[in-house]
Amino acid sequence: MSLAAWVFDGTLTLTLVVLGWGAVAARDPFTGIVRYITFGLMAALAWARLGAPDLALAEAAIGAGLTGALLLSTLGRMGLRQASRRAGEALGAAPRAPTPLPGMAQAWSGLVLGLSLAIAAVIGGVARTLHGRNGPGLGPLVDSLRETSGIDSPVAVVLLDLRGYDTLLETAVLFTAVLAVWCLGVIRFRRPPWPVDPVLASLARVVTALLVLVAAYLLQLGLHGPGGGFQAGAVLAAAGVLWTLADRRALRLGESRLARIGLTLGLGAFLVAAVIPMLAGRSFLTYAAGSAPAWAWVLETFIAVSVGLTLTALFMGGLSEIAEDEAEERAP
Amino acid sequence: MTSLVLYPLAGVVALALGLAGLVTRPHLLTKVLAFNLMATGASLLLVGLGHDGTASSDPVPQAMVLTGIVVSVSATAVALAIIARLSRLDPDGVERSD
Repeated sequence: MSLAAWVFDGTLTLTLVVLGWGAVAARDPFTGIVRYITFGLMAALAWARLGAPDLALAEAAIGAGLTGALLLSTLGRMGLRQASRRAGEALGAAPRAPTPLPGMAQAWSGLVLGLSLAIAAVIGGVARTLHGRNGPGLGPLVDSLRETSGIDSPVAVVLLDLRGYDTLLETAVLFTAVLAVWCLGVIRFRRPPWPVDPVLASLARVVTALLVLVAAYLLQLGLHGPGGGFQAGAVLAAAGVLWTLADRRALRLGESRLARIGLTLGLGAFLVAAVIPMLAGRSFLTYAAGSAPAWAWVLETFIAVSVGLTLTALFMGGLSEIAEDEAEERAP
Repeated sequence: MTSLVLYPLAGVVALALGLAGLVTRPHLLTKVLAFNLMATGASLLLVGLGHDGTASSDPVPQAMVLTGIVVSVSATAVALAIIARLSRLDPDGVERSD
């Protein structure tokens, strides 16, 4: 059993390291991105092995899936000219003058930092070996607070009750990211931006229904076990990305007033939930005894909708503008 | 000592690889990717060291890492939007090393 565990963990961590190396060392970005997506999926396995299924869900959907899709779509948007030039370089046809080691100083500082981290890890490993196992950490404390709070899942109680400030600011970060991406300008698409495939469009309809069902399931699971608003939102975002690829009308998301309201829901609901206790004389984000599960349920629902829309908007990479005619299309 | 000690070690290696990629690779997309690799490495370190050898991990680092995953996808999206904009203004700029 122990040997099997060593073989499994050894193989998985070695795969992680090799894929991580391959991702940054790849000669062309496309190969690197594909290796990075694989790395993310392996990391999801590692989370599952470490007893963190919440993280496994989030890593697979957001870390590997959505980040990979974002990287690939940006690479695609950079245009064919560069891609073909890079391909030429990769084949060795027109080798660029080798970069004369662009920053030896930078490389050295990276090495030093890496070494100090490795030393810290070795010390941690030695300490752990000497003591056999770590202390229990904050787990028992969270368990005791979980009973007063009423939220079953230890991760959910930390996210929504004990460290509500972090999650409030996290929704603010998501909202700000969309604003920042929208401020960077409009993306112009030819008409149509890609051929709308009727098979893909009808498949998207079926798959979207299933994804919404999965998201609802993850959402209701969130207070008791792995799952919750962010994971459900990531699944909704997968549906959003699919719609963006299948049907160009989805690109009008940013213009829709309903979608804009939806983008603010997570942050807005969280702020309201944070302020309402103050009306009853408690402090910011301090729920009344016993009311935490109800608040958490409402917040998770709003967060799921808003995360789904936010991640879809981030995938689109900006407010889209679809050129309606040829003349407009050629305009700068 | 359980074999779970390998995960924080792999996290450190991923973090160092990401850092090296961030400072040495010329292509901006690879830099963004390296930054994400650093984030995952740091998360593996946090949750891996928070694991007490029983069935479950410490929930506090888990919640922090969950927040971290969402924050890093937001940061990635903003960085990529900036890169896409840059590549429209200066198509060679995304690969310049300095």
